[in-house]
Amino acid sequence: MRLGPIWVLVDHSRGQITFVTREMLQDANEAARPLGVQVWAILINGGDPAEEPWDKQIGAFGADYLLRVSVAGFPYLTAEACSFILEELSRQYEKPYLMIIANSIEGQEIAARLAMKWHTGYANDCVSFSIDLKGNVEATRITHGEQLETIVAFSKGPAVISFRPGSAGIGVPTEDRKAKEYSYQMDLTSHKFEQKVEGLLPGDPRKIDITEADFIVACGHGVGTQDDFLILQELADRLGAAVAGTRRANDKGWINIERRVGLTGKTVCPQFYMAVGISGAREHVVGMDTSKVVVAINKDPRAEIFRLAHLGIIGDAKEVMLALLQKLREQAI
Amino acid sequence: MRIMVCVKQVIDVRAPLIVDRRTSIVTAPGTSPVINKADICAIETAMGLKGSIRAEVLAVSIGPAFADRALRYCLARGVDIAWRIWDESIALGDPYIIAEIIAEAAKISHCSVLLCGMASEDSQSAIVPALIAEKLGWPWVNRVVNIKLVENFTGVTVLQRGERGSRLEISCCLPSVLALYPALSGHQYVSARRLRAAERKPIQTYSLTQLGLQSHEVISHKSPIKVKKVRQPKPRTKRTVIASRQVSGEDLVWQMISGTSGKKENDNLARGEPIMLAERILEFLSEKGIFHRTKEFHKREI
Repeated sequence: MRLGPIWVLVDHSRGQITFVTREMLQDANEAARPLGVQVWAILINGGDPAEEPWDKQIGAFGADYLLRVSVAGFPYLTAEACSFILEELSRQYEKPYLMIIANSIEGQEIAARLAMKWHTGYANDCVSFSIDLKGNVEATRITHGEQLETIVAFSKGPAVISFRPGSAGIGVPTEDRKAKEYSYQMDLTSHKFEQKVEGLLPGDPRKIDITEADFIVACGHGVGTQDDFLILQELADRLGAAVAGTRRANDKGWINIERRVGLTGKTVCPQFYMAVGISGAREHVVGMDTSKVVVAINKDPRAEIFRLAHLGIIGDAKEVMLALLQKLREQAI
Repeated sequence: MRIMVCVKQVIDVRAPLIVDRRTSIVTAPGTSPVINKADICAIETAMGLKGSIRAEVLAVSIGPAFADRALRYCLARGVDIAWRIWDESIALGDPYIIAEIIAEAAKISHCSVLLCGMASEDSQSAIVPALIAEKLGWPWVNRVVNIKLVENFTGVTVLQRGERGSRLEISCCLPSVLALYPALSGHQYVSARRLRAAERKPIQTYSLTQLGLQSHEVISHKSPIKVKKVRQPKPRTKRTVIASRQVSGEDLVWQMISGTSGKKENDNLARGEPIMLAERILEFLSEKGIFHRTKEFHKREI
């Protein structure tokens, strides 16, 4: 039985493929090799080919082919437009056997829409997948508030999955390997989509409600002084995060009451929560314990916050913040 | 104008869960089922629309008699009509069957807007809104945080949640399916008096036949995806770029045992020089896809 290729939708940010794309490509490569199928990386609007050597980046992580799609006539690519483009590509090239898309806010929707267009199944939030020699695709999904995992099997192809970032890790890239590049031009000027984009409102981390922020840097009593809080504010700006805090930070006047998290404040569920100088009192933790990724900085190794932190940093909050800021400034030069 | 809201009652996923190994049924002993968070947002949004345009709101839930509890809450919150759909042949865990039934209910109800949560907290399949829209042939918008109807009710303008708190303003025509992004706050308190009053309000029960569906059609429905097993998460080995020469003997042994970077699952604490700790934070954020090591990345916000 001859299987079609595996397609990976490249998630990129300003000239670099993201961590999850590297994971997806390496996982796709591992699944493809025993079956002798090819891995195609699909890159939509990846910038000028002369400036961005995507073929090397993508080839190093296991893709055989890179399909660069340049889209004209559409100022903002919605999930609807992306799924349309992928469907169009599946008509022009060999239809994939497995389609892998990063499980980002938009990625989920692209995957769901694509599954509808292909009249096939979609597995959301997968941490791993496999294709056996008979061509059966299985995927492991995280479900039930991340307490359980569900193994699903596709009975119809092409299988569409969205892949959770950070679930596979990345291995050693093959430096001297390049993906063979193809280009595809698409003009969407005359195409009528169901959704009409009226405007894009970028979120200002300093102004948005903390319940809607994806990234939060929260301060507690352990931050120290008002000057140290200003360092934290700059750090949050550099990370593109909103500033929140505990009741004590609010009492000190560093943050407004709208930015207070906990029993007497708001409940937040961001993608990333950095707790700086926060001990982890229950009154605060109830407002943020559903955060996806928690990084805590505290000098007390017995601080309660470390119980729920995915990464705990034991050290002086000010010193670590200054070092982190220095690193970020170096990267911004 | 009629607005239909889909409501799902789920097990409390914050409680300890037990999985039946034979049937893969998940239970949370000692807890009561709760309404899916995103569905509560849908109810609140429907109530907001009802207040501004005098729409009639219909809440629909699929399930046996215990689903009445969720519908009673909806009635107490201000929903006008409540429908419960049930038949022994319905597999509640199959999103493809659920979507088929909801689509039929939407046709019968003659609603103009169908509101639902973008994913349920238990199975998190995140496919039902797409399937409903596909079956009805309606447009659908996902990750909705705010809805405004245009003046003559021919269309709708919504704010869609994007990455990092950004919003996309999107317009589409009616009828349409709008899937709400779950918000954690902003829900109105429903008093005990209103909950008691809702106990006396009627809930209409529909069978599959009344919706125009046949039980055998639903049973024989071929879902393209099948659940094989539900289990407690197993530790997974992760790839590592290269083994560090500076790792201790203990870590090397862990590397051999686990096949990974040698870290135990709970070994998440880091100590050392601030600059090293800062590097560790950036590495961690990069792993999680939160931070990208590009020179341009941080210029944007400044």
